[in-house]
Amino acid sequence: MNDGKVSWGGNFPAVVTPFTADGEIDEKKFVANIELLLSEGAHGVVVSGSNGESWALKGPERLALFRLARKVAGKEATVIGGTGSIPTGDVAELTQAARDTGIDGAMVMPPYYCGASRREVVAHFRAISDAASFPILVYNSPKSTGVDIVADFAAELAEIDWVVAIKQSTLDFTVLEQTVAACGDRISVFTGHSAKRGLASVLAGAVGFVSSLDSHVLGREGISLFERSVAGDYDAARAVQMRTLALDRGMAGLGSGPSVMKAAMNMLGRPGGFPRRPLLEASAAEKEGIRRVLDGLGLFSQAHHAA
Amino acid sequence: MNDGKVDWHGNIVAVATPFTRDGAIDEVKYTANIELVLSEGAHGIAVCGCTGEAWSVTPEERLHLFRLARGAAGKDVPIIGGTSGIDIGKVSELSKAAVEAGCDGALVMPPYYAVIGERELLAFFRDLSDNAQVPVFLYNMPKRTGINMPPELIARISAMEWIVALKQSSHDFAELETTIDACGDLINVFAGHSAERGYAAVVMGCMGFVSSMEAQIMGREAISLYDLAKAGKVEEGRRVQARTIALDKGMRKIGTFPSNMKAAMNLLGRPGGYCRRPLLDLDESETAQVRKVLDGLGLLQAEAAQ
Repeated sequence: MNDGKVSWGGNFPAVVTPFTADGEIDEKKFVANIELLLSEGAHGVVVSGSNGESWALKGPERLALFRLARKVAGKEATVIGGTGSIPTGDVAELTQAARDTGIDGAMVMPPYYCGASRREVVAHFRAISDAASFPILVYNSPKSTGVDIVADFAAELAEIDWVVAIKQSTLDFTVLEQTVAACGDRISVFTGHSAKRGLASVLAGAVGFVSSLDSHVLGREGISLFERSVAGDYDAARAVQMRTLALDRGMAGLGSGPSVMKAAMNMLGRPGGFPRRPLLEASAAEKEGIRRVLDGLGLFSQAHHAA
Repeated sequence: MNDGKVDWHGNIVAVATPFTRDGAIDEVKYTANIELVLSEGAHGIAVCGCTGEAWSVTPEERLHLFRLARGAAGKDVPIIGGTSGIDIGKVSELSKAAVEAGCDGALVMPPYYAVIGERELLAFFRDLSDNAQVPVFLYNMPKRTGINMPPELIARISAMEWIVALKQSSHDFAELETTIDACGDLINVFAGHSAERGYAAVVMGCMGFVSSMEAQIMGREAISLYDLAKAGKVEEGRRVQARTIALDKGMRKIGTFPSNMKAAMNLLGRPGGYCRRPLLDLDESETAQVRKVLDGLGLLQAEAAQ
C-alpha cells in the first residue's frame, strides 16, 4: 500500500545491461546509457528488469549495478532495481540487500517456472514485504512468468504493506484499465508496452511508464511521450505514439528483445553493448532487418545531424 | 544422437523431493520413495525435474540428491538428474557433475523466463553437448518455459553428439507422433503426461514415458501401464489409463502441482513430505478435496486394507 511511502511517476526506462563481447558487464556503457536517458528527459530508471537481462545476472552483480545507477542518477531521479527470482527466501534477501544500496525500491515479478497459484504468489510478496520493509513495484509480465496478475489479484497485492506500485504488462488494455480502477487509489499503476499504448494508458489513469525500445532507440522523442500525454498535447503525443508503434511492430520477430534493442542502439551510436548468453547477438540477417526499420523511421539521418 | 550410448526405456518416475515442514530436505522420505517406486516396477527415476521442485533446490543439494538416489537405486537402475538452468555454463558444469555423482544422464529443458529464439536454443544445446559430454535427456516443456520446440527443431538438436533422449511434454498428441517420426531413429523419445496418454504413446512408438503423479499416488497399478502397453494388453491397459485420467483430472484443480501430489501421497501413507516456498502445502479444504478424489478411486480402502 502506498500510504505516502513513495511518489513515483513519469517515464522510467527499464535500462539495458550492456555486456562486452565476452559477457562481462560493460560498466562504462551502463553508466553512459543512464546518463543519456536522464538527459533526454527520463524521470527514473529500472535496473535489472527483463530488458536488463536480469535472468543472466547474479545477485551481487545486480547489487553492484544498483549502486552504480544510484551514483549516476543522483538524488533527483528514481532508481528501482529488479530483485525477482523463484525461491522466496532468496528474493527477500536480495531485496533487503537492495535497500542498503540506496536505491528507491525493488521490482519483483511473481515466481516463474514453478506454476505458483494466486495464494502462493500473495504469500511470496507478503514474505518479501515483511522481510525487507522496502518499497516494492510488482511486475506483471504473464508472457515471461506464466502468472497473470489481473485487476482483483493486483488489488489483493495492494493490501500488502510495502507493495507500493505495479507495472502492468499484460497486453490486454482492459485489464490495465481495470487495474487502475481496482487499486489505483492505493498503489501507483505503471504501464508496460508504452511503445504500443503509452498515451492511452495515461488517459486511463496510469501514473507512469516502464518503457523499453521507445526510450532506448528513439531517445528524447520516445521519452517525451509521457509528458506530452500528461500535458494534454494529444496531437503531438499521438504522432510520437505512431512512431513508437512502428518501431515496436518493425522490431517484433527480428530476434530476442534485448538483443534487437542493443543492436539498434549500437547502430545509432547509443551505448547498447552485447547481450549475455543464453541470448546471442543479433545475426547479420536480423541486423539488416533492424537497420531497415531504423532507416524507415529516419533515425540515421537524425543521428547524423546530431553528430 | 543415441548411437548406443544409453538403453533407457520403460516407466521412468520423476520423483518428489520431500521436504520437512521447515523446508529442509527429508532424506529418509526421499530414499524411501525411490525404493518404493522401484519395488513397484519403475524402470528408472528422474531426480530434480519439475515434480522434484527443481526450481527450489540448489545445485549442491541436487548433487547430494543424485548421490542418495544412486545409493537407494543400486547400480543398474537408470537415474536421470535434472540440471536445468538459464546459465548454459552452469548447466554444462552441473550436468557433468551429475554423472560424476552417479547419474546416467542429465535432464535439461530450454532456459525458462528468458524467452529465446531458435538460433539461441540451438547454441544452448550445442554448448551443452560439446562441453558436458554426458548423455542429455532433452525436455520439451512449453507450459513452464514458454518455449515450445517444434519437432523439426528437436530433430536438429537430436543430431548433436550427446543428446540421447527426449521427454515430449507438449500436450498435442499429434505433435508427439510427429516428434517420433522426426527423430525417433536418432534418440529415445519418451512421452510426458503419461497419466493422460501413456498407453497410446507407447503404442505409437515411444520408448517409454516419464511419469509422475499417477506413479507416486497409485503405485504398482499405474506403474504397470508401460508393461501392459508393451505386452499388448489392451483392455487392462485401457482400464488403468482410465483410472489415471480420473486421478489426473481430479487432482489438477486442487492446489499447485506437486503440493497436491505430496498431500495425496501423505494421505496414502506414502513418503510425500512437504513443499518448499514459493509453493505452499494444501490447506484443510484442499486436502479434503484430495481425499475425495482418492476415495472416488478406491485408493483409501486399499490403503486401509494393508
